[in-house]
Amino acid sequence: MNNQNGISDENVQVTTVDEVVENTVPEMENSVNTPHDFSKIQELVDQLESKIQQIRGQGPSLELASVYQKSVQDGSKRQVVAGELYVGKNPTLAKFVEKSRKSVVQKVKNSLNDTVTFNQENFVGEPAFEKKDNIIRTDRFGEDKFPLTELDEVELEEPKSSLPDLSQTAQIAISRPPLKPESIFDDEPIIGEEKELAETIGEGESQAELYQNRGRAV
Amino acid sequence: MINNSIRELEDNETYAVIDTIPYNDGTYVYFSNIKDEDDLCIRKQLKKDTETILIGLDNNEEVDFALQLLVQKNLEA
Repeated sequence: MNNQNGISDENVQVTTVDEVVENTVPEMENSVNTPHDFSKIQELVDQLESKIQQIRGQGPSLELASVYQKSVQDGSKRQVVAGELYVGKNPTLAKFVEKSRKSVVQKVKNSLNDTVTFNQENFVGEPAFEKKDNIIRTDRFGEDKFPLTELDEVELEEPKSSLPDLSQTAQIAISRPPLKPESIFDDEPIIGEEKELAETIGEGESQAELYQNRGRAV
Repeated sequence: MINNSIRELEDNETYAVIDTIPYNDGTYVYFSNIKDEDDLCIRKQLKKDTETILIGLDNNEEVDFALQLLVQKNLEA
């Protein structure tokens, strides 16, 4: 769930006054030995008020959405500056800078979350999908779903003796050269073989000699 | 005396430079509005030939990265 600034509420750690009360009151009850130990109660009440003041003093977190807009969109145009910018030496300005820097750093720290750390890794080029890939592999090939040991134990059934051994038949079929289209015309003169015989015997032989030699060859 | 640590940006507001952090070829410059310290913005300072320019950051991820650098530098110091 995002707030109006587009920042995930789940990632922003904010300690509220109610949380402090919830955490401190049981501690107060456990620490007080007797109902009449008022000094102890007063001490714990002071601690509680101190914590509340401390939280209120931190103020609201920095509006990061505004920082994004000013830093990215508003800064799209380049500005030429004379010389390099540096942190001011003017005494009045230096006080403001020091105070503002501490305040900003604390508020930025409160506003940033774990997602920023992830973005930083991306920004410097760290691989971001290694863990995700591992998760996918575990889901697809994990032991719970596809145990490899069970696959290893599976044995194939032997072919029954009454049936022909199809594996040998397949090997014969594979080793045999592919049939020529001419072979289906064994009773007819085969033009392809005639040419081969003519080349073997030599041109000029008669048709009768050709068929006679063909018979020998066969 | 007004020096370079004060700068008027695109919104015509005056900002003070509260920190600068060198990174890669440039420097991240952190500005805070002198009227409102919660008004923060970041620019990159680059040198182009003889010019020194300020430009905006590429995207929100780079803003996050620059903010991380600011926090790390000032909390670890």
